[in-house]
Amino acid sequence: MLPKHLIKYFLFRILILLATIFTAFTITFVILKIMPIDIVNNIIARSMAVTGAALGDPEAVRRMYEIYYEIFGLKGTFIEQYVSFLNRFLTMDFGISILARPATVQEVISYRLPWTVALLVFSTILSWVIGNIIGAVVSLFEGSKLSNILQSLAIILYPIPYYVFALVLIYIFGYIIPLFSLTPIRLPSNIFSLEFIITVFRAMTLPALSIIVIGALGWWFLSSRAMALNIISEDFYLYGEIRGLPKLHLLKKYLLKNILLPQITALSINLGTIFGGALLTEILFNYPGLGTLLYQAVNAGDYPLVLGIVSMSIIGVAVATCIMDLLYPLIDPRIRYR
Amino acid sequence: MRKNWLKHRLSIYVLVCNFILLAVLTIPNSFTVTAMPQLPIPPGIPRGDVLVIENGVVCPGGWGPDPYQFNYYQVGWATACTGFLQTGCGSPLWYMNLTSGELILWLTEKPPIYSTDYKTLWIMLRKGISWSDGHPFTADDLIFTIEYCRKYPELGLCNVRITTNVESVRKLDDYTVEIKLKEPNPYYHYEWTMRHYGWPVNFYVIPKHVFEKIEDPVKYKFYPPVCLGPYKIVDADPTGKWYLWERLENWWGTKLLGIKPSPKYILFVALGSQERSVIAMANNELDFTEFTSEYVRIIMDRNPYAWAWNKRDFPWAWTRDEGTRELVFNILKYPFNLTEVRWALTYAIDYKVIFDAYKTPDGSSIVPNPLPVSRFYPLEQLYVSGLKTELMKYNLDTTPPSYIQDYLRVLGLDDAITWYKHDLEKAEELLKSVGFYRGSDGKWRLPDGKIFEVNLISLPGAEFSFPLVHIVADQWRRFGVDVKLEVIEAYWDRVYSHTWDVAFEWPGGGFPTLDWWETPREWHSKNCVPGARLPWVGYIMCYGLPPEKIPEGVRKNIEVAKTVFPDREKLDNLVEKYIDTPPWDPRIVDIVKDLLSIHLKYKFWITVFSPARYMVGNSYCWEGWPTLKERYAEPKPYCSSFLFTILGLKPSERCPIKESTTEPAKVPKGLTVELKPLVSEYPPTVTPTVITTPTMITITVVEERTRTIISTITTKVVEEVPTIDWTLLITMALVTLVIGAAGGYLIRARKK
Repeated sequence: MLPKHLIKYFLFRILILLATIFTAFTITFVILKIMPIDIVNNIIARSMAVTGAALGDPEAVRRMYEIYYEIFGLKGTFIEQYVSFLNRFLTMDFGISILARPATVQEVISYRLPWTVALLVFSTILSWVIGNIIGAVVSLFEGSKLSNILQSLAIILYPIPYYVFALVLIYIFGYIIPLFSLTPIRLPSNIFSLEFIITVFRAMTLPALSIIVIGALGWWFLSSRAMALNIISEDFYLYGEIRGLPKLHLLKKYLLKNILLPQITALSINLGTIFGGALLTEILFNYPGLGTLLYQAVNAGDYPLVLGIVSMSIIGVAVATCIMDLLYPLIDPRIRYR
Repeated sequence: MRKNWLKHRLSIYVLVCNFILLAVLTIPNSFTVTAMPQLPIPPGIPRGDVLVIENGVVCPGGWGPDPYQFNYYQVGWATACTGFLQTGCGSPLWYMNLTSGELILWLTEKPPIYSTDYKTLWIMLRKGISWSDGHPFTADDLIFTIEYCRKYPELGLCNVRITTNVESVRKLDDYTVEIKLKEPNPYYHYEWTMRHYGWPVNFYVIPKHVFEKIEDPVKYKFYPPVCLGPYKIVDADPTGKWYLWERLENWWGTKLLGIKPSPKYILFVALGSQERSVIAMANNELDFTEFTSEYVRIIMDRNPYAWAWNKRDFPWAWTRDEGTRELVFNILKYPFNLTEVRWALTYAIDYKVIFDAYKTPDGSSIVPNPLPVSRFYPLEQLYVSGLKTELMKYNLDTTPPSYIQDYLRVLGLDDAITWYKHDLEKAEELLKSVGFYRGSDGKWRLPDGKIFEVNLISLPGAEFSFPLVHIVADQWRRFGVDVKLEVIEAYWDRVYSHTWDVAFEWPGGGFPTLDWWETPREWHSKNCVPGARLPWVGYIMCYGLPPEKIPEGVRKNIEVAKTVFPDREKLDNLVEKYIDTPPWDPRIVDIVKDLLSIHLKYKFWITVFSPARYMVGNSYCWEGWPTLKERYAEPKPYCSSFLFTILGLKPSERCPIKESTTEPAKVPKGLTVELKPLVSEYPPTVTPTVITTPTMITITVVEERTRTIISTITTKVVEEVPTIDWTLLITMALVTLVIGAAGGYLIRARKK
C-alpha cells in the first residue's frame, strides 16, 4: 500500500496535469482565433488568383463563402466554437482537416507521426545518452587530450545551428560522397525485411545525425560536463576519492546519479515536444514529419489540424512532465521521504 | 603557466577542427563521386524506363497533407501540386496549344459549336474512348459531371461555376451533349478547355459509373483515380513526396490516334528545395524541374546534360508564362485614387536595376513589360507593338540599354518596347501638381503636411516577388516616399482586408488568342459588389463610383476616397462589348486595345515584367526537351499540358531501358485546329450544316513553330491506406507507463 502522502502527491500531480492541458488548449484556441488568418478567404482567394474572371458571379461567390464557413464548422460565436473544439479535444476527434479535406485530422497525422516519432525519439534519446556519458567521463579526465579534443568539438559544434550542420551533411553525403540519395524513399511493404531496415536507415541517417551530433556534443555534453565538474568539487565526492573508490564506481554512483535528475527532466520535456516535429530538419531533408504539417496548417488557418497537432504536443509535454514527477520518488529519495 | 598552456592548446584544437571542417567542405568538384540513382521505384525497373519530374518552384514540398486526395472537385483542393494527376490522368475536352493558340481536339471530334445567339453550346465527343478501367466514355459522363456539380452546393467552387453559367444540359445522342447557358456566352468553351493549370481553371469530366455509387460526395477522395489520360497510378507516398505512374498499354489514344508516350513510368517527385533539386539533377536522379535564377547557373555548371530553354546557350530563360507581375494600387484609398500619384510612382522605378537583379550568367532575365499583357505571339504583335504609339505618350524609354534590346530580339519581341523611362523629374512634377511637397528631410508630404506613406505588401515566396518588391521599395524611398514593406504570411487575409496601399499581384497576362484573357470582364462597375475580386484587380470596378456604392465590407475597413473617372461609362461599354464579342472575332482586337488604353491612361496597376522561368530538362536519360528553336510545347510542369512535353521525349542510349519506346509519340496533325468555334442554327445531330464560320486574324511570326502532340489516361490501383487509432494507442501507452511506474515503485519499496 502506498503511503498517504505519496497518494496525495500523485493525485496532485495528475490534477496539475489536467489543469495544464486545459489551460494550454484554451490559450492555443484563443491565439488561433485572434490570428488574422481566415482559411475560407485563403481558399477562395487562391482559387480566384488562378481562375481569372471565370470564377462565377459575385453573388455566387458570396454564397460560396457561406457554404465554406458552414462546412468547415467556422460558423457560430467564439464561445460556441470553443465549446465545439473543446468537445473534439476531449474526445480526441478533431474532425476533418480543412486543408486535406476530406481526410480526418487523425488520418493526416497518422501519415506523418511514425516518421516524426521514429526520428525524434531515436535521435533525442541517443544524443542524450551519448552527450551525458561523454560529459561525465570527460569531467573525470579533465585536462587530458581526449577531454580537450571533445571540448573543442563541442565549442565548435554547439553554436552551429543544426540546420547549418544539416546543409553540410547534405553537401558532403548527398553530393561529394553521395552515400545517401536525396530523392524521397519508397518503403518496402515487408517491415521485417532487411530492405526495409536499409531504406529507413537511408532516410533517417542524415536528419538524425544533424540532431544527434549537435545535440550530443552540444548542449547535453556541455551541461553534463558542467554539472559533473560541480559535483567533483563537492565534499562528498572528494571524500569518495580519498577513500580510494574506483573511478567507475565514482562515475556510476556519485556523478551520473546526481547529473541524471535535472537531465531526465530536460529529456522528458524534449521528448514531449517531439509532436511538434522538427521543422527545419524536415524542410532541409525533405523529411515527412509533423513540423511541416503544422507549419502548413498554421499558415492556412486550418484550425482542426493545428489543434490536433498542438494538442498532441500539449499532452505530450504535460504527460511527460507528469510522468517524471511521478518517477522522481524513485530516483530521488529526498522526494520520497518528504 | 600550465593554465595558459591549456588555454593555448584548446585554441589550437579549435583551430585544427575548424580547418578540417573547412577542408572537407572545399573539396574540389573534380572529386565528386557519381551517385547511383536510388529512386523510389519497385525493384527491377531500369532507370531508362522512368522519367523523373518535379514541379520544383510552384510546388517544391509536394502536394498537401493528404496525398490520396485525388478528387478534383473537393473543397479546398489546390491545383498546381497534383502529383501529376491533372497531367497524366485528367483529360480536358480540348487543350489549347499554348505555343500557337490553336485548339487541340482531345476528347472531342470537333471544336465547340455555338448556337447563333451563343446561348447553347453543342459538344461532340470522340467515339471509342474508354476510361482506364475499360468503361466507355460517353455523353453520360459529361452530363453527370455538370449535374453532379450542380446538385451539391457543398462542393463549393464547382457548384458555383456550373450554377452561374449553365441553365440545363441534355444528351442528344451518346456522343453529343447540349449545354444551355443562362446568358449568351461565346467564351463558355474555355471552361472545358485546358489553358492553364487544369482545375479550377477548366473542368474535367468525372466517370459517372464511379461517382454515382458514392454515398457522400464531399468525403470521396477518388483514389485510385479512374482516368482518361495515358498513365495510371501505381503507387503514392503516404507523405506526398512522390507518385509513380505507369503507361496504359490499352489507352484509347494509342488505339484511336496511334499516340504512345515513350516513358513507361513517370515518377513525380517533390524534393523540397532547390538545393536538393540541383543535387538530384547533378546525380541524374531527376530529369526535369524548374529552377530559380539563383540555382540555374549551378545546375548548368554541374551537369553537362542539363538543357535550359535554348539548350546550353543564351537565353536559358523561358519567358512565355501566361502571367505578368504587377504592383496593384488600392485606388479607393487616398492618395492612390489620384492618377498623378500612380504615374509618379511608376516613373520613380528604374526597370534597368530590376532587369539586372534578375539576370543570370548567360544574360537572361525578366522581360520588361509596360502593359498587363503577356509578351508572346499574338499578344506581342497585336497589343504590345500595337499600342506602341500610345505607349510613347507615356514616356516610354526610347534609349534602352543595348543588352536589353538584344535580349528582346532573341526572344522575337519588339526591341523598341522596354519600359517607362526612369524620370524622377516627371515624377516630382506630377506629385507637385496634386499638392504634394518635399519636407526639409527630403521626404514627400501630402498637402495636409502628413508624410506620404506607402504600405507595400507581398506574399512570402510568391514567385518573382523577390527581389522586385525590395528594389521598388528602395527606389521609392530614395525618391522620398516613406515605404513600409510587409512580406506577410497572412497575405490573402491582408489583401481582402482592403487596408494596403500597393500589393504585389499577378492579375495581368494572357493566352495566345485574340481575346487576351477574361480579366476585363471584372472591370465593369456592376461588379463593384461583395463577392467580386475587388482587391485582386485593384478595385477598377469601383473606380469613379460614389462612396456609398462601394461595398460595405470595404467602407468598414478603410476610408474610401472620392474617385474621379470620366471614362467610367466608356469602360463599362467596352467591357459589355468585349463580353458580347466572340474570342475568335477580329473585332475583339480593337476592343481589347481600347480597354488597355484606358488601363494605361489611368495606370491602375504597374505591370513590371513577364517573368523569366528556368525550365531545365536533363538529357542524360531523356532527350527531346522543347527548346526555343524546337518549340513543340510549353514546358510548364504545373500545367496539365505538360503532357505534350512528355509526348515529345525519347530515351537516350545512356540509361538502360526495358519497356519504354525508343521514339517520341506521334501525334496526328489533324487534331490541332484553329481556335474557330463553329456557329450553327441547329444542334449538330439534327442539321449538321454549319452556317457561319467567322474568320480569324492571321499573324505570321517567322520563328513560331508548332508541333502538337496528344494523349490521355487510364488508372487502376486498389490499396487501402492503413490508419492507426492513435487515441487508443496513446491511452494504452500512458496507462502502461503509469502502471509500470507504480509497479516499480512498489517493488523498490518492498525491497527496502
